[in-house]
Amino acid sequence: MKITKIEIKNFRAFPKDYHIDLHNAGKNLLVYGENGSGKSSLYLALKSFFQSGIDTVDGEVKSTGFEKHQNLFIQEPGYIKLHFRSAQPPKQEVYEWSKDVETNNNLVIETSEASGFLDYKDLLGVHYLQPEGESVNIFDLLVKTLLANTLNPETDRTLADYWNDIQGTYPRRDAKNKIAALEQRVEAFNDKLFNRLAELRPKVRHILGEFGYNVDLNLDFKGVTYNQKNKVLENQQILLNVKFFDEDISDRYLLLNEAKLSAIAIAIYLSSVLCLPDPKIGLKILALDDVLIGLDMSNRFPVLDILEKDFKDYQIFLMTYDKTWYEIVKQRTDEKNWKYTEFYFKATDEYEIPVCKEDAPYLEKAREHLNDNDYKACAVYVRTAFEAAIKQYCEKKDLAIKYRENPRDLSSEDFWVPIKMEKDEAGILVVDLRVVDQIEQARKFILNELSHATFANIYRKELEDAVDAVEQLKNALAQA
Amino acid sequence: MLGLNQTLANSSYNYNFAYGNKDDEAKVYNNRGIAYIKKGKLKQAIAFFSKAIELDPDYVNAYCNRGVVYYYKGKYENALIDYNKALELNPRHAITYNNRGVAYGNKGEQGKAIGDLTRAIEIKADYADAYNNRGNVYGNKSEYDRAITDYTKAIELNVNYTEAYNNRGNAYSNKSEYDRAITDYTKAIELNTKFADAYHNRGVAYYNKNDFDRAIKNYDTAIELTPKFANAYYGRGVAYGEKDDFDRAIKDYNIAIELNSALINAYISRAIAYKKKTKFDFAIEDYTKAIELDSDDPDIYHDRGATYVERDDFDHAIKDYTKAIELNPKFTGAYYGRGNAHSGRNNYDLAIQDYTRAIQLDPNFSKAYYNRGVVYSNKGDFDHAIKDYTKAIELKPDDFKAYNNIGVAYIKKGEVDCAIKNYNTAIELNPNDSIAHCNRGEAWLRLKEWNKAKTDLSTAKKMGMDILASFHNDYKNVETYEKLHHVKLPEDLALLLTQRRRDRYPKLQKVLDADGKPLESPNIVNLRAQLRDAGTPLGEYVKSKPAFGINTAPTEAFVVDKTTRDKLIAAHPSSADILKPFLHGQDLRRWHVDTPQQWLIFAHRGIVIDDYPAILKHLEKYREPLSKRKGKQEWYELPVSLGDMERFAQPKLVCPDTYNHQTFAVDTAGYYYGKTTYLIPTEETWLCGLLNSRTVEWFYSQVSNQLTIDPLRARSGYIQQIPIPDITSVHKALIAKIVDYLIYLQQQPTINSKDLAYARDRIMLRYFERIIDGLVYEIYLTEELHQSDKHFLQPLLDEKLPPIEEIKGEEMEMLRNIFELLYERTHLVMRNLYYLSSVKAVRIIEGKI
Repeated sequence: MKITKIEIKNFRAFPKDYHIDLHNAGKNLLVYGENGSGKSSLYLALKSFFQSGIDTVDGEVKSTGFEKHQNLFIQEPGYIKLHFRSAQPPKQEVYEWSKDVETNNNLVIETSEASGFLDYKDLLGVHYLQPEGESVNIFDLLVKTLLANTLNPETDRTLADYWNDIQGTYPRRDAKNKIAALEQRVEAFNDKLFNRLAELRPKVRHILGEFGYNVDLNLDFKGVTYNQKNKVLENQQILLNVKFFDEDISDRYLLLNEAKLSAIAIAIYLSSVLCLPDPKIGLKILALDDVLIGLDMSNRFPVLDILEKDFKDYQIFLMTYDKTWYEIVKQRTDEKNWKYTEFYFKATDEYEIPVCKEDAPYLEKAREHLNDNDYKACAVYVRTAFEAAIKQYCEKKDLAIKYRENPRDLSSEDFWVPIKMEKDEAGILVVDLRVVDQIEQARKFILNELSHATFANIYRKELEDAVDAVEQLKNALAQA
Repeated sequence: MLGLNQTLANSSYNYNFAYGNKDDEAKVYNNRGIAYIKKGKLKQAIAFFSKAIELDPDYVNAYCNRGVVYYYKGKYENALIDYNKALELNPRHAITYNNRGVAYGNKGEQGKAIGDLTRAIEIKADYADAYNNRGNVYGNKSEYDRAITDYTKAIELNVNYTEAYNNRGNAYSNKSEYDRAITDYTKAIELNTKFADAYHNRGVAYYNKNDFDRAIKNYDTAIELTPKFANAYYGRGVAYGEKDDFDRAIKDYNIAIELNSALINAYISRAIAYKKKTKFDFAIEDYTKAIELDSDDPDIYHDRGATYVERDDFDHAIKDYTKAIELNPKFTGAYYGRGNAHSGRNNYDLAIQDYTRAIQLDPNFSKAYYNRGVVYSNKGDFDHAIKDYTKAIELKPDDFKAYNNIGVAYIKKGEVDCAIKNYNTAIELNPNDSIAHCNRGEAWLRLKEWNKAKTDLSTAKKMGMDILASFHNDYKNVETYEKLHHVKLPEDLALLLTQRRRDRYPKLQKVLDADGKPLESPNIVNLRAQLRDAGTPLGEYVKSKPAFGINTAPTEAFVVDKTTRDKLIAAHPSSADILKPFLHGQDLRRWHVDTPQQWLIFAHRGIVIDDYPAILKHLEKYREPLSKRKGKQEWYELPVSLGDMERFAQPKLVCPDTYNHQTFAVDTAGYYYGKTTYLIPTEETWLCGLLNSRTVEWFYSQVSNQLTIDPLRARSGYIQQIPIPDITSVHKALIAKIVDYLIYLQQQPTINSKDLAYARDRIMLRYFERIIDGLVYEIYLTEELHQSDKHFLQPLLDEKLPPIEEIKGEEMEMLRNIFELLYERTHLVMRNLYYLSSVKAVRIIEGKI
């Protein structure tokens, strides 16, 4: 069973009818798109679609939960439709999720429980890991994020359920029964987590091996204990001890840089997905939204190998805003199994899309990325800022723009040329020649949409100049 | 009685063949013709007889025989020509008279038939077949006494006359003399053990005697002997239906219909069975089919209409009732039914019209008065409503519901005193009427009789009535009531009428509709009904009655610890005889009963206490509190009889009276229990698995309707309602095997420790419990699980799990191996368990919706 087609309408960033054809084979999907372009909306669309199967309520007053995802600017009701196809036995089905249509059927529910959805936000916790003594405590990261949704087959409850059982207000000292009950729940939580970690260990070792880390990860968990006197849960601790070439390096935390910790976190998550039993009637999906950005390039390649080897019976959805990485994945994967889509172009080159009008944040974002040394992202944003600015100005002044049959074919050149020649009442150029010149310089590399495919070498200086130029242009246009 | 007609298998006629006695060629052809008839080759037979006639045109026997063959082939005219010719040649040929009589009989010309057969008997006084055949003709004329006389004569002449016994049985059956009928069928079967018709007929007779089990056995044999015996399948289906085994009934009807698609009664019976299973769509389909077969039967339209009403499809119901009325303008039931349908659509005036018509046709139709009263009440015409209810009571003096409804009408009219009077009568007539208690309680509230209100409301609640829902329905909540009537309810009453939260079973708030039925999600209601129908109530399933343990108060007197016990025995050895290992409900865990650390002094009523001097001395210390107890027992006696020993000694399932989860355990050690323990006497340990499952826990929490109480409470009445499905012994053994595993595991130190090193063992225990959940889901919700491709019974049977006694000495090691095998993520059991929540019913039960 695979997904062959995704149809989305008025869901979050998707303003209108949008569909991706994954062909009869149900290909994997690689999406390139900058943040806010709809890439994450696609990720969320898939994730929420499958979760919606479980979240629905029974009874007369029904809510399918779709409303909260409805695109805010458009009244027309939206939907997500997924087309499924299985070769053996031959079967095709379409399921819809919308305000009026529920998805709680067994295919959707099984798929949801058999699949992995991870986005970059889930990995943010990695950045806050602090050495405690000589090792790293990854308790929170595991319990609250990476393993939270793993189901315990022996009880039908998730680890998060067990964790929530022992949260909240704790009993008074004299409430003996309540204390005993709480302690029992603590033990149940400990058992579940301990067991999960034991099952994970060999898989994590295997996946880290694929990463080229010849290490053995010891996820050391001694059990949470309840301290009645202070009313706290103590020992919320899973110490990450890495055995590296048979040498304990837990005391050398610094060797574990953020990239390695990200890799370990991803390895743990992927392992937990691999521990799930195969569904009976559903399919297996792995969707990763920007989770690889925390890795340096050398650590990203192994992920592709892992996906290829260990997840070959999954349908994979990879989203990234890193164009270079996108190009690399494109080259290294087989077209027969993969579909490639670029959201950036589709979304922002279409000038009627409202997102372009909100130009202000683009330039700020460009600066942020520049400061973070993420040149690719910076280039994307500065270009967007440029295009939004000129388009907005043309609209405001009602400048004559070259006629194109399809508005999508309008290029930034079409807007830029009239602005360059625009004069005010006194006959003075609105954008003075010095700025025009700077913009022209920047357009050669940075602001030229055609250059995106070959972002091979971008230099900081060029980017800085481009950001300055667009800012001056904006100021000039604002004064006019 | 479902009131279905079952047809008896046909009474059998006997033809006779006339063998040739002439020693010539014609005789040879004649006899050869007879041989071919017996082989079933009729065409050749005719040819041989014709040849015989050709050789000897005056050959009477050949004409007679050819007549029979023609008759077999349905060529009546030819047959008669041959018979007539034979009789022309020999007017005293008894065989031909017999055969022609049979032919006339089968053609329905009964007068001529009797004439011929009588003539045959006149010619040949010992002609048993002719008597038998004439008996059949009389039988067909419903002259059963004459028929019986003839059969009896036939039997007299031929004591081994199998068919005549069967036929006489049919005649007795038709006279409703079933015992005589059964004797005859039995005789027929004795003479011919392969006589399928006789088995079938005996089945019908037993059925008519309401002995359904015997009926089924007879049908079984009939079917075994004649696998395509449509009527036997049909008959067996009807018998199963009487036993409320509708699944089996439907299976049989299906076959009957497959074998004979014109079996109209099978369609109607199947519709009734589907209705019982609340599969109304299927029922309607069957009625429709029956109507196709007989479009002029008003009863079928009426029944289909009633089914539409069940489905709340009132428009179709009205159409059907109207058709029934068209076919039979005096069909009281159809008017009444259409009245109900109109009432369902809130067409009050039309409903009243129909009820009125029904009453005109049958002035004693109390239900029509009652329902018309309900409609008047809904219209707000309380005076007419009261009049109708009163009339209904006149016709049916114990109609407590009518009294209750009069009460409600008076309340609506503001006449609270009159209302209470009627509620009183309702309760007098039916002391268990929780609705009337609740209503009277609310009426007392209006009169500010707080104590009476509290008593009534508490009683209603105890009876299982959802008084919160009722109150909510009438007044929304305490605040609105207080505002409306400008009073302040006493705190305890306010508390009683305020919804408290109960976290284990999140439910939608129940609200009652006008008929006092709770409004709940149809999914929950249907699932509950489905489970309820899935088996025999536990109370009926187990042979002796489940009950609570012994009231041991004052416990300090009767229950002693080990030290005291040892002292008592040391003081006098007789003490040991009545010191019984004893447990309280709170000592119990799931599956296994731990060895008791306390002993009960089993001083039953009538004990000769002087035989136990040490015990007596011990009890003396508590004489004062002991004497203060209520009851007839002596001060030193427990309120139990010697006979109670039996109750504790036998194998049983036990559970505490309050619990958060189902907590049943298997006790084969014969321990004694206090009153906080509920005991179910049974040897079937698989029941322990069933009762501890999520399904039963959900069902129990649903029926015991304990919305406001935190832990669940064992209540005998409700526990006995738990449906026990009828499953094969193989499946029972499988569950029992896993229950044994769990009993073993529950005792293991690693499982009872907190050491994380043994977390895996504790997971194992939970996993086996979960497997039981899975098995029980499959048993109760077979269709739903199989639709989602979830199977447990088969994959587990395939594993051929060893019984616990076979792995003695290495239990833990083996169980760990079994667990690891079944816990493997590729194992079917694991996969099916993991994805169970894709089954909607499971999601409901597990609280995921």
